Amino acid sequence: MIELKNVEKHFKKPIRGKGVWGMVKTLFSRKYTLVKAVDGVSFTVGDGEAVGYIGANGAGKSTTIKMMSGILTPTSGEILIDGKHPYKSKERNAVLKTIGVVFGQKTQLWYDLPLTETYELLRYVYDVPEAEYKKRIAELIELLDMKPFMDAPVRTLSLGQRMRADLAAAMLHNPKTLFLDEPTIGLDVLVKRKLVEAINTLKTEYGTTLILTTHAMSDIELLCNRVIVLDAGKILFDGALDEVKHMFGDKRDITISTKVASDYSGVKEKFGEAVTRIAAEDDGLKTTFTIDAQKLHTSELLNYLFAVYPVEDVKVAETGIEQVVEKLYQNNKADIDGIGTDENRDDDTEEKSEETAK
Amino acid sequence: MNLKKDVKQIAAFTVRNIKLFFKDKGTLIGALIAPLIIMMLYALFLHRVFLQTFDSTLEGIILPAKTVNGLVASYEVSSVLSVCCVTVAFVANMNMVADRVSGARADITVTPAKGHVLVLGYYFATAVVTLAICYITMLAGFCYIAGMGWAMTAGEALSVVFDVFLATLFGTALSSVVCFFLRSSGSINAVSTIVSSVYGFICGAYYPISKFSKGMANVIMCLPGTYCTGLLRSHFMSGYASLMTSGGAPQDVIDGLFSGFDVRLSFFGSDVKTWTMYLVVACTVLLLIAAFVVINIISAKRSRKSKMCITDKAK
Repeated sequence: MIELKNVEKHFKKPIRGKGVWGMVKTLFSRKYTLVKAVDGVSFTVGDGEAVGYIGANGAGKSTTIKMMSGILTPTSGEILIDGKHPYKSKERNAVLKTIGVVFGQKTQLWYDLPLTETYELLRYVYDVPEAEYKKRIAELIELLDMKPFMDAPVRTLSLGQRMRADLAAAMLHNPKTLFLDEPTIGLDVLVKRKLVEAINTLKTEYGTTLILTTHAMSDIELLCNRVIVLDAGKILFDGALDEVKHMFGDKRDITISTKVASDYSGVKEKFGEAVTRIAAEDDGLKTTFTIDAQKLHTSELLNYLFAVYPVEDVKVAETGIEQVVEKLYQNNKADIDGIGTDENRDDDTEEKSEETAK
Repeated sequence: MNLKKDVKQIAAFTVRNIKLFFKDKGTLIGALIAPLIIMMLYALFLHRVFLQTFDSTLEGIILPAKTVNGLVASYEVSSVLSVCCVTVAFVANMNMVADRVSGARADITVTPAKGHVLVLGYYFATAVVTLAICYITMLAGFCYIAGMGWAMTAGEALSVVFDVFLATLFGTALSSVVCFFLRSSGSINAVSTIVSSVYGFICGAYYPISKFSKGMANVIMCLPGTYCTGLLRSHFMSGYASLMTSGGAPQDVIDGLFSGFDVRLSFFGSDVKTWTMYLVVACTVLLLIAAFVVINIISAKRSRKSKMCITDKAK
């Protein structure tokens, strides 16, 4: 079980002076700004759970992963992995033996050596018995299709091959928890799908707890059943995947194509607020109706459209998690801006009142 | 149980680092031929100069050419060996700095590998690589001396083998501590260049310590590297004393020659015994290794607590 209790991580960021004089001044007196990368994050992840940890760049996802994997120490708060602190010297090794980490933007494989050499070294580091190692590596080679490049130096591998190799390295000691920090970054669709399938198989087969950070929402939809949305170091949302999808209503986009442009005001009249948006494209030949699936069944609208309009083609799409997360960020930003505007408005009002009094 | 596991892990890291060094053919060849080139330069350009200096010290006593040539060759080879035990170690330690630059070092922090395991893996790998290159240089030196005039006993030759081993451990420990503070491949190249040009002078390899001013000689005698040179000089050249005696050289002339060319070292007027030299070098090696392990452990703890982690910097 992973427990984070009001975790904060602050970084001191040096302020560098501008120009040559600024550079010289920086040498003698360095000023810092305090950046709150993670700001009071709390959550619990149960054994075998798969959690998508998402957020924009700089939201604090990787910092949280680094704290959970013992690379960084939190400024305040507490992190417990199966009751042990990963950043405390005495408990660190016990925790690190039970976790595996994959950083998509880096490799933990030795660049100039063949894969087999890295795996051999990791076997000693994780103290994996030889028989178990052989069995495990054979399974991983089979699952991740790594046989063709096992003896090739890592620098000669493609990104897709390298990611598979990194995943195998992280799974070699059969960790209870696997942290994946943007594992599919830069991969093409086909390779990405293969990797996600492999992660899914590993997760199901070994019951591994999964914490995944990514910008690809499709990965989250395929792998995770819970989502934590982070923004500016704070949790915006923590709940089931279905819950986040329907957070702003259970929306469907129904797009129809017709031979001639039509007037769809009748749709709005008939279904009222259940149809939230009507958008036309291609000079009115293609129209998208966004409906609230809680109020109106897709079939009901489709029957009406087929009966009234000369429909040639239909496409139905569920509102993706991507749009929901985007809206979450927008709402959060609007809230913050709103507070600022209100404050300004209050100040303005006070000033005006003073002026009026004078 | 834990010790056994640690030893296995250290061995695995050592093998990994050695393989990495030998994979880089350019660095390997460079490190291997540099001492051989210096030895060749000594033989081709400085041998005659040294012969003249030795002859002038012998005050007109004519000794067999083989004896004087062998003595000079031994002086040259001991100089080259005492320097290369340190300079090659700096080159071999490039792996450690390269790992830091590439971020490979930071990646290890997400594994249960202990700090001292990682550090000793670097230390032993550097020692093995340096030792291999220094022993090749030593064998080439033995061949050169044999061609010029051999006078070493089997015991002295074995002592030279041990001296090279000890000097290598010293060079490796020294370079490990210095390289720990280097953060780029440019800085290790700069430091290696400085060490190559300076170390020979401050350890008494390029120029006899007795020829320096008294104050400077005493300062140099405070540096532990000087005793590595002293040990090598002593074991390479002592065998020529009996040949010189049988050739008719008086004892005081031989003593003067040996003192003048650092075969016998003196510190504030007293002779330094061989066991003292061994003790100084061995203690220095242990101290430097301990310092290397401690600074690594402290640094790892600080980097976890610091403003940014190593992986961030590597990115």
